[in-house]
Amino acid sequence: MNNLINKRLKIAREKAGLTQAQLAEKLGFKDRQTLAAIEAGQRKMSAEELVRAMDVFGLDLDYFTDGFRLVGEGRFSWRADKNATEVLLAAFEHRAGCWVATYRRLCEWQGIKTDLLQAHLPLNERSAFEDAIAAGEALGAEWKLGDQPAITLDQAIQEHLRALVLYVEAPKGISGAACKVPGANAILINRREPEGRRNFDLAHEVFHLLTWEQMPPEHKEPIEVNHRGKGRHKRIEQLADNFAAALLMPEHALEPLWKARSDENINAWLNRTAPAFLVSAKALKWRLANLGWFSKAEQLNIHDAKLIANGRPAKEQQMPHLFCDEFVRRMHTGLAKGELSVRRAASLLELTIEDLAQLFRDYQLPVPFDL
Amino acid sequence: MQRGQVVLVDTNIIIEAFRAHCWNAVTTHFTVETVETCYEEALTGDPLRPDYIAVDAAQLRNGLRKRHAIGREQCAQLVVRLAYKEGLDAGEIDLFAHALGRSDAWIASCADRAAVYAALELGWQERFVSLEAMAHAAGARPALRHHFTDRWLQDMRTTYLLDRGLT
Repeated sequence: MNNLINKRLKIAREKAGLTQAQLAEKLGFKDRQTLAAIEAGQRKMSAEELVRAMDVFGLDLDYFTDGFRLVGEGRFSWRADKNATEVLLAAFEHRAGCWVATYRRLCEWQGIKTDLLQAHLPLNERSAFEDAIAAGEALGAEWKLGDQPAITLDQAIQEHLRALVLYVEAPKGISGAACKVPGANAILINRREPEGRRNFDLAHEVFHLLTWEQMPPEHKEPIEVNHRGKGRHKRIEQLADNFAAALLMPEHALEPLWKARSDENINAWLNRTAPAFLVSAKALKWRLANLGWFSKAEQLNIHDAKLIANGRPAKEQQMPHLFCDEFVRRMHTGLAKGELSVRRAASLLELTIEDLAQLFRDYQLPVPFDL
Repeated sequence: MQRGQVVLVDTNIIIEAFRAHCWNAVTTHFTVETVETCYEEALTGDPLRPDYIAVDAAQLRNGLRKRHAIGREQCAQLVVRLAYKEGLDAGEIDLFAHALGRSDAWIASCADRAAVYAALELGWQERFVSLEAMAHAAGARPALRHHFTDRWLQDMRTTYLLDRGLT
């Protein structure tokens, strides 16, 4: 039985504020029990009933039948600058929601279980910055991220949190997002951002996924620190930044480098050392400031305009492949098992068929079609 | 397959028939029809891409006897019967929705595993033919990609039955 239609009918009814009796009448059922049986998945809807439901709610057919899109679920928190208008975010959120929903549906079809239990950090908005820093350090140790956590952080997120890390082509102004969806949490990263920004965004969004229930982030959080407003949300973002810095730049790895600095110019040292952690020199500066390792004289000598490192040197940086290994494997299996067609896959990912073939080659997977 | 028989074709078939230069042969021999969505998809593409296959709009129109517009009632009839509805492309959905409402002796051709599986789920085992079979019936011998061959279609039928434990 196509339970999706039944579930979506219930979501539409609840969103419209109708009782079962009211909707049953609008759909022309003899009694409320008929609708109750449909919503409970005990009775199938006929095509005629489905069309009547579309009319009653003013919704299209896909709303009821497309499991590759999110309906009535999914919360996003975008990391974006002032160029990203709400209209732009809404359009991109719809696309991103389709990717996450597609992944979840394919997992369901392919028997891949998603975790019911969700990991979380015992922090709240009253936690001290030191608590967030300690949590970042502790998580890096628990996940065995080593001296260069950024290198394996995305894999660790997928392994330990069972959350997707999707590297995407995002419109200008959108840096990344955390996405909370039952059965398929995700972090989206604009793959065209510099390496240092990508890594900091990733670590920052991990914090949101791990603290979402007690500290739900805003739908849009400005990248620029001085645009972050005031109060509670500013506090949450500062906690996330402190957590991210500690996760990416663990004290045990920083300390020997700092001690070996000798009399090197502080700006030069920050630019030379930041690439070792695949972060920006500015992020490293704030991490050292929070550790309290700068003298006052050194602080006066730091000039943000001179802090140019943003991950490794540009020529050594590689843009991540689109999406991620796990996501592409699910798509690959879906195509190989006939769960989705090539054209459907290409249109979902907004690729040509040839680009879709290349995506599989990028992940060393055989192209499962010859069209 | 009989000369003049109605054949419903999807986007992939149209594009491959143009690539392999057998569109005229097939459309002369059979009565070829499609849906508006597949027609539009076949004409969509970026001519600057190296893999772009040109579909001549006039030739396409001339070869088609009919292009069917599909309503939501027809689609609803289809989707309540398919387990993997969301796995199909808009053109594939429309073509199958149209086919579901026909009572004549139509046959159809598509070259995608999910679409073939959906057709088999709908009980259309005997209705589907490969582009290769159609071209041969029309006297053409085009060099076709694997998905458009009789062998591929037969493999799909076998795999479908094996997957579902029906053999």
